[in-house]
Amino acid sequence: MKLPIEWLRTLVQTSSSDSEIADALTMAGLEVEEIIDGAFHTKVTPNRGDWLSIYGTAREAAASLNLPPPVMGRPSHDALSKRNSSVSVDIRDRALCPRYSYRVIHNVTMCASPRWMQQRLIACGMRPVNAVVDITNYVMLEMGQPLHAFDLATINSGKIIVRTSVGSERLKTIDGVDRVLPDGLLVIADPIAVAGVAGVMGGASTEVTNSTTSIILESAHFAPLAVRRAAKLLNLSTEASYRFERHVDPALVPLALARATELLVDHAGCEVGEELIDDYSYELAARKIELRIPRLNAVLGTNISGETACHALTRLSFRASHTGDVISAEVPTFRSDVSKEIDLIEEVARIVGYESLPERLPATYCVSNGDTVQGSFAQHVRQKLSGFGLDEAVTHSLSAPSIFQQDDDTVGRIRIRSALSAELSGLRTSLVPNLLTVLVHNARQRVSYIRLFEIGKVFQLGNNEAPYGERRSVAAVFHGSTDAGSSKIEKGPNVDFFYAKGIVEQLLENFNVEQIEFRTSMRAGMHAARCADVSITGQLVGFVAELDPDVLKSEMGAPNGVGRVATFELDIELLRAAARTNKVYKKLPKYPAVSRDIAVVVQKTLPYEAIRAAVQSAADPKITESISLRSVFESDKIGTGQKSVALRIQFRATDRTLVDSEVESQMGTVLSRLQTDCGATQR
Amino acid sequence: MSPLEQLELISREALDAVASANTIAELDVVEQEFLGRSKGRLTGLLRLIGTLPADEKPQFGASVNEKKQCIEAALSTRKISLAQFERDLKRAADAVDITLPGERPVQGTIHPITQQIEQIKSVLIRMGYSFHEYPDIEHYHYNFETLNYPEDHPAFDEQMSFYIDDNYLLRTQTTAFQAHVLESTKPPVRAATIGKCYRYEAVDATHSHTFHQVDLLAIDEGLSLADLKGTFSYFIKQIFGDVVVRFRPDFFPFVEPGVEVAIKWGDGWLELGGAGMVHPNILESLGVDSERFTGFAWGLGIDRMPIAKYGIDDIRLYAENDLRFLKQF
Repeated sequence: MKLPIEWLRTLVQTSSSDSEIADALTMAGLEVEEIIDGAFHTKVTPNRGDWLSIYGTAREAAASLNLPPPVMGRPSHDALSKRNSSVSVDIRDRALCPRYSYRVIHNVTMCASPRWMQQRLIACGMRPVNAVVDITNYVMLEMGQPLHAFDLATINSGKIIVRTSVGSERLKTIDGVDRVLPDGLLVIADPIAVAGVAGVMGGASTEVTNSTTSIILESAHFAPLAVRRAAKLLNLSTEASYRFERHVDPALVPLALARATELLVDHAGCEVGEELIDDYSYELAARKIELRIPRLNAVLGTNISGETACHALTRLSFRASHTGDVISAEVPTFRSDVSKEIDLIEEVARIVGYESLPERLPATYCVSNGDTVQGSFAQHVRQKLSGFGLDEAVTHSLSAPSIFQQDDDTVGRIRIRSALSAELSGLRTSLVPNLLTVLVHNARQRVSYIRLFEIGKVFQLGNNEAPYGERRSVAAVFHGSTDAGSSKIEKGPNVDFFYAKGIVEQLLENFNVEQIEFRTSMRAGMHAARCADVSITGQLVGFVAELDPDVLKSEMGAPNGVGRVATFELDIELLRAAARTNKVYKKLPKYPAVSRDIAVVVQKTLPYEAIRAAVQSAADPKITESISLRSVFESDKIGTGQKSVALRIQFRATDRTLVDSEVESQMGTVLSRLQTDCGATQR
Repeated sequence: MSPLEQLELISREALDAVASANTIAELDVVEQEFLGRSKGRLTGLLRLIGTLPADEKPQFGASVNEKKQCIEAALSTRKISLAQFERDLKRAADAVDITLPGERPVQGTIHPITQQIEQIKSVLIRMGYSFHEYPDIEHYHYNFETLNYPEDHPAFDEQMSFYIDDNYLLRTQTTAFQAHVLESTKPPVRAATIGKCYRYEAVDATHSHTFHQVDLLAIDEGLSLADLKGTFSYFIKQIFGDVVVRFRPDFFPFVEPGVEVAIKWGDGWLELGGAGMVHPNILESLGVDSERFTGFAWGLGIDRMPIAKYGIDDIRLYAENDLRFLKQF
């Protein structure tokens, strides 16, 4: 709320500077965010509707500066008229409208309000209209009680009915919008039509106009929930509804009406026509709460005396007295937020000052179980990948549907209800689309070598038991080549499928994952011939692929000249399940190894894995230490549709030095197996 | 020439040849020429010994040996200095421009938000807090109801939520973990959680619809606001070093007294989040005797911490992941 400091100072007599008052308010819980053009801009917490006025703010300032509470002058024209009211009120829902007061005022002329009033309204961010409207607004700002003026002539039969709406009634509100009222809204009506939505906005047909001569001035207390519901259903938040939602002191109802009457008489030439009617059916008894001093000190960690606590509450307008260790406090009517002992403890703490309360570390210590298993595994993976030279990205979980996935229903994308934009329309089902967006962004900045990974949650519709599923995933994208920067190499090779696959293999090896399989697959947006599913012991855990070059350009807006982009994504929780962390030491070999290379020509389409598997099945596992690829190439010499594959086999026995004849016989077996199983010829 | 005169001449020649040899190879030739076992000129002089009278023989033999040792010493000295010279030449030929850049290992970076999260985790673990993890898609019950939100209260307006259906929403605060923890753990409790939170906010330099939060919950006998203040001050010191901490009253439905925590930052204060004593309503609703046990809690925004540490001026940089940004951390 914007509060002109000069106005506030009429109620707070202090020599403190503006910023001292602001600090006092801030440290009492009412944050003064800025001081601009002689006005405090306060941030009112939703529990303190009483701070939404000059008077309420002055009261808090006085309490925190230890000054006597501000006093509003008693309205002078209150008792002037004894004439019976010509208007009656019928409150049909007293739960939603516990108090309704009004008065008929005559001789209304549409003049402008006085200049000082206009200036204060402007300083508070309101626009002056005419004296009647301005005075209702002025009193609302001053005291916090919203008021409304109806044109008496437009109220049929002089009868006001406070009831709930029924049967889709219509109302054109004073903002000119024709509205259909949902049933059950609290409205002000006459016997024929609705005249306004209680506490939110009046109707256009009963509005004060230039031809108005008499008004019904309304001051009422409406239940916060009723006003909030109406404002939400009508999507209409007003200064009045904002205050009613946050609770307005019911004791203000007749006071604000009297104050407005006074101003109308003094500054708008009005005449107090009729008596003030104040219809309320409930007792405004103050709530009484007990505060135990030992409890106060236990919660605050203090040693505050009963006198000090009592005094603190008195400063805040509580009627407090203490006997022994117990304070009995009467809660002022403007403090709807105080209902329990703990609320009083906070009040005492506020006045004592949070800054001056003691500080210490807890006397007891608990042994920590550390991070969650998921969290610490994710951190392991993160350290490995950054160790491989990848940079970590963190992107939003909320994202637009992606062309890198099939339609929402197929992938079980979770959508946000009534989303405001595509970017916020649902939750990601994969980390790859966001990473690609990041990659394209960086490619546009002419970064020539991009290797990014992310570890984060992906989301998917679940089943009846758990309607929404969340899993952690790890994904990466790669592009470009190592830059110049070494005195030896000008440029490294461009990344491709095998670059991504190599990272996956290295990562899995780090976690001692076994039985890994790569199988050709097809995925949306991925290169149709360079895409593989990854599975561990037969369970699908993710994929490795190159991006489809056309999709990358047309859908991602990748800049021209972008070469191959490779990616992978793995379910990190399945990876964790497959990881074996208990390592077993292997003795270092005592006898030397013997290496043999073998080069064969096979059909180009024959996968390497088939060749490797044939070698593995042929060689004696007792002495075969490793089988590795040396080279793969095609050439005219070898022949079309053929390729040359060279492997290196390393033999070693644990109990002796191998002799040549043993190794040669192994190689002979391997070659004949390659000939029969793979149709290979030796080169 | 007498054999003695010859000896004088040959040894002078030998010493000259040693001095003028410029490589080890030349020196080896010199050695062969004068001291070679069969054809060495000095060695050859010993054959003249037979032509000498018997009384001169021992004297001559001794002289030849003396000269031989002299030449050997010269050879050895020269050899050492030539070897040194040749090593120097080889190294000089292998010279590099040491001002050329080194070959750097490729180093990956960890996102500043993750770095901040890991630092917070290690500090809180050291302080005795155990970490917990709960879903981002949270039930209304845990996000609001169990946190003492009054029915349809304006407090909700501060947390405009992303709803998925009538019951589920993206959590607006990691504080939603409180009831989860208390449903499975009896006091004493020292629990913490870190995760993403989501609120409808227009994205600008200081706001985003997604942010990261760390929530902490301590419930025990005898915990007070003083313990909250002390714990927070200690924690902040671990994260930021010596900074001025400010505690002031604020309102959150789940704590009372409610506290806003901020640190001095430039001329003003950087608000880090909310804290307070766990509201007795929450303890009671979860079956904890609020007379016997008290507790404190806080929920801090993580994205703001690197802002204060590094002077980052736009939080959109976090999600943009520009490598020129990421490589700075």
